[in-house]
Amino acid sequence: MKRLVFLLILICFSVCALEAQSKVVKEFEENAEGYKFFAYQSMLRMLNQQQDPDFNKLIRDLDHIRVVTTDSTGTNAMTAFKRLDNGIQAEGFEEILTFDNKEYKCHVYEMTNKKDKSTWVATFFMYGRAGILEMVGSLDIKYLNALANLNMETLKSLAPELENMDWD
Amino acid sequence: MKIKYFILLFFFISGGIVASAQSSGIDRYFEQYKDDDRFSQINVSSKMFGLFVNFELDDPSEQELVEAISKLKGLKMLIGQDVANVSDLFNQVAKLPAADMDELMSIKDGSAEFKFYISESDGTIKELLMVGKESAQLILLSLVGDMDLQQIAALSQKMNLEGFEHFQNIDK
Repeated sequence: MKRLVFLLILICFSVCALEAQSKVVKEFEENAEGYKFFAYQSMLRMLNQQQDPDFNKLIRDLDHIRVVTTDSTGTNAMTAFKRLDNGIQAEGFEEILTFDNKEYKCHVYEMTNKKDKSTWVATFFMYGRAGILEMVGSLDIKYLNALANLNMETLKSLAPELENMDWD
Repeated sequence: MKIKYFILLFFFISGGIVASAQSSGIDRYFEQYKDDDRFSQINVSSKMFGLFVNFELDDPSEQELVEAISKLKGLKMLIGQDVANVSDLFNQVAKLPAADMDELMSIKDGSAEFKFYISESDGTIKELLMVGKESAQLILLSLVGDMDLQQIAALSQKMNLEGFEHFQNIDK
C-alpha cells in the first residue's frame, strides 16, 4: 500500500519542472540530523535493473530527488513537522493535497513562478519522524506504468529506513 | 484509519481551491475535527485531479474514468474512529445539507447508515456529499466538480472508500 502512496506522490510531482529550491527545504537539510537521501537521475537509473526503456523515458527530465528527515521522535518530530509545514506555507506554496491522522501526515504543495514553472514539495510525519520530499525536474507521466517494474529492493538498499515499510 | 485511504484518495482528490466551492455548512465539521486524533482528514485540490488530463490509457473504459477524474475540482473526506456518540453526531451532521442540497439516496443496513446529497445545476452535479456511520465510525465525503450520476457510480466502483460503494446502487 505504501508503495502506492510513493507512486502517487510521484504523480503529484510529475507535471511541472522545477526551478527554484525552497529556502525552507534548504535550511531544513542543513540542520536536520536524521536521514538524508539525494539522488540524481543517473542514480535513479540504477533502480532500472531490468533496463526498461520506459523507465528511462519517465525520468529523462528529472534532475534529482531529495528526502530529508529528522532523527527525533514523538513530540519533537511533530513540532518539526509543523514548523516545516508553516514555513512552506509562508513561502507562498499552494496546498495541493493533504492527508492527516494521528499516525501519518503528508501535505503536498506547489508553487508556480512567472515562467509557469512549478516547485513541488511534500512535508510528512510518519514513523515518529518529520521530513520533507522535494523533486526537481519533471516526470513524463505517459510512462508512469514503468514504476510497476521498479526494483524496490534496490530502492530499499539505497534507503535503509524504508526497510520497515509495508510496500504491499 | 488505514493508509489505504490516503492512497486511494491521492488518485481522486481535490482541495484548497475546493474549500471555497464546497458548501452545505459541512466545512465547519472538517475544521472542527482537524486536530482531533479520532479523525482522519483528506483534502485534494483541483490541480491534483488536473494531472490526470495527461493520462492516456489503452482501455477505453479506463480512459473514460480518467477523464471523469480530471473534471473533479475537489475532494474532502473526514473519517472518525471510535466516536462514542456516533448516532447523535450523524443525525446532527446529516441535517445540515437539507437546506441547500437535494437528498439523492439513503441506505440503512443494521448499524450502518449512509445519506447522499447533491447540488445540481443545469443537469450537472456540482457537489456530491455523503454522510455515513457504521458502528463507531463517522464518515463525511464531499466531492466537487462537473459530474453525472454514471460517472459518480463509475468512480464509486474504483474508489475503495468506506461507504462510497453504496453509491453503486444508483447504477442499478
